[in-house]
Amino acid sequence: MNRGFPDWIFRRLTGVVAWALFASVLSLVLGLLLVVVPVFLSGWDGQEGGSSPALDHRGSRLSLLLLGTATRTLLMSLAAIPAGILTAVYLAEYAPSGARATRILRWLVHGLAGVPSVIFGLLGLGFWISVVGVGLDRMAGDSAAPVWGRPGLLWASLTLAMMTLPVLVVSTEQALRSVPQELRLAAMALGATRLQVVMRILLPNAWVGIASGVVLTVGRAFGEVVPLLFTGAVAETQRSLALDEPFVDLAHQVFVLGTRSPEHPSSRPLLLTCVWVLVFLSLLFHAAAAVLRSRILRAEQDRL
Amino acid sequence: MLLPRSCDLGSSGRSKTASDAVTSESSPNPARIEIQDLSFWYGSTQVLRSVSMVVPERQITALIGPSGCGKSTLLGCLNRMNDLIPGVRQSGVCRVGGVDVQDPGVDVTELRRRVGMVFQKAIPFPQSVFDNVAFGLRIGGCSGSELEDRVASVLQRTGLWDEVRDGLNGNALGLSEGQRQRLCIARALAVDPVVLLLDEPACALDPISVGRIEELIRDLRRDHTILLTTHPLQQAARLSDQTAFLQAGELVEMDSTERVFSQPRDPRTEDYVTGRFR
Repeated sequence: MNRGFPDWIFRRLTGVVAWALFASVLSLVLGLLLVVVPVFLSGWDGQEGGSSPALDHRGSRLSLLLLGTATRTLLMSLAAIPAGILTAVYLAEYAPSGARATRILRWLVHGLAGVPSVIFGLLGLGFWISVVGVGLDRMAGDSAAPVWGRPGLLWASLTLAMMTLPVLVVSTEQALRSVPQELRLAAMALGATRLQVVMRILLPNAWVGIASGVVLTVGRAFGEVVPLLFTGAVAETQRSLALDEPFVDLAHQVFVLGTRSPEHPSSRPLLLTCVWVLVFLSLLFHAAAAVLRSRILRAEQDRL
Repeated sequence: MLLPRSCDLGSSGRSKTASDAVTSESSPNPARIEIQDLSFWYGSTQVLRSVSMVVPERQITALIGPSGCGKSTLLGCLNRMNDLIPGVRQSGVCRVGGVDVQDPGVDVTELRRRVGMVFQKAIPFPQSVFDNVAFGLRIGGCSGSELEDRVASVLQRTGLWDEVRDGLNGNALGLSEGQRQRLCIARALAVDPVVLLLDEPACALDPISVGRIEELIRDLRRDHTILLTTHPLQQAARLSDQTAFLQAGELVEMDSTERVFSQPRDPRTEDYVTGRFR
C-alpha cells in the first residue's frame, strides 16, 4: 500500500535545513571577522605611532554617533511602544472578533509588518517631511528657510516608529492571547470590567512576553539604516542634536564609511569601531530577549 | 456592624437583614431564579430549546445530562457570561431576584457579583493565595484591614484557612488540585454572591477532595442559591435538593432529587439515570 511520503526523508530534510541555517549564521560571523580583522590589524598599526589626536577624534566621533542613535531609538520607542501596546490590547480584547473591520485592521497590521524598510523610508519622506513638516512650516508662515520641512531627527524617529509598530502589535497581541482564557473569564465572572481585566490580569501576566517583543523590535530598529537615509541621518554635521536637525547615526555611519571609495583609508578604524559597537549592542538586546524568554518558559511551567 | 460603602458589594442575600426584608416585600426573593422559555443558539446551532424552570432559593439544584446538552450554556445565561461569546443569540427570560438579567438597565459587572460562577477548570490567578481571594473585593474598591478580614473569613468558610494560613503570600499555583478548586470557590464567595453557579465543581479530583468540596457546597446552601452541573450522577444524588435533566437542549424533567432518581416520570430520564442508552 502506498503510504505517501516516507517519514525518514522528511525528518532528514528538516534536520538538514535547520543545520544549514545554523551554518549560514556561523559563516556570517566568520565573514564579519574576515572583513573586520584585517582592518582591525591595519587600524591598530596606524595607531601604533601614538597619534593620540586621531584616537581622540575617533572617540568623540563615536560618542556623537552613539548619542544620535540612542536619541532616535528612544524617540522611536516613546512613539511606537505605547501605540503598539494600545493597538494590541484593542485587537486582543476590545475589537469585535469576527467583524469585518477587525479583520481588515488585523490584515493591515500583518501586511505592514512585511513591507520592506526602504518603502517605509520613502513613506517617512513623503508623509512626515513633505506633508506634516511642510505643513508645519507653512503654518509658521516663514517659508524662506524650511525648519520642519526637511529631514531631521524627529521625522527619522517617527518613520522608524511606523516601521516597528506592526511588528510590535503582532508580538504584543500574541503575548496577550497566550494568557489563559480561564483567567480572563474568572476575572469577568467576578464582575471585573474589561479595563480591570486588562490592567489586573492581562498586562501582569503577559508583560514578559510583551517586553521580549519590545526588546527584539527595538533591537532591530536600533540597527536599521534604510529608513534613515531619506529622513534625517547624515554622514557629518556641525549642528548639535535637535529634533529638527539632521543627525549622525551609528548604523548609518557603517553604511557611509563602508561604501566610501578606498581612497579614504583613514576612516577604516572608525568603521571598525562602529561595527564592533553595533554587534556588541545587538548581542546585548538579544541576550535581554533570551533572559525574558526563559522567564516566560518558567512561568508556563509553573502554570501547569 | 455596618460595612463601609466601599466594601458593600452587591445586595447581599447572605443573611436576612433589615434591608433584605424591605426588598423582599417589593420584589421576589433576591436569590430566586426563574427561567422562562429560554432558547439559545451558537450561530445556527440551537443548544437550548424553550427551557423553563424555577430554581428555589437556598437549595442546591443539580443540572444533569449528557455532554453538549446545554447545561453550561444555561449557567452562562444567568450571569451573562455568554455575552462574551461571539455569534450567539438568545430568546426568553432569565430572572434573578425578579430582575430580568437581559434588561438594558442591568449593570453586568454588578450582576456577575451577585451571581457568582466557578468554572470546571480550577485555574487560580498566578498570584498569591491572598490576592486570589482579594481580587473581587479589590476591584470593588475594598482595601486595608477590611480586605484582610474579609479574605480571612472567606477562607475560613471554605475550610482552607488552616491549610493556607501560613502560605497566604505563596503562589496559589503551588496548591493541590483540590485546594485550587476550593480557592476558586472562595474567590467567587468573597464578593458575597446571592447565587452561586458551579460548572462541574468536582470533576477530575481524587475522592477525598471531591468529598471536601461536596461538604463545602452543602454548607454554602444555607446562605446561597446553588445551581451546579455535574456528570457523576451519584454526586447529584448525594448533593442536590432538586435535579433537572436536560437532553439535547430540552428540559426533560425537573423535580426533587429523590423523585428524579427513584421514580422519574419521563422514560428518557429513567434511561439516563439508570444508565441505559438507546
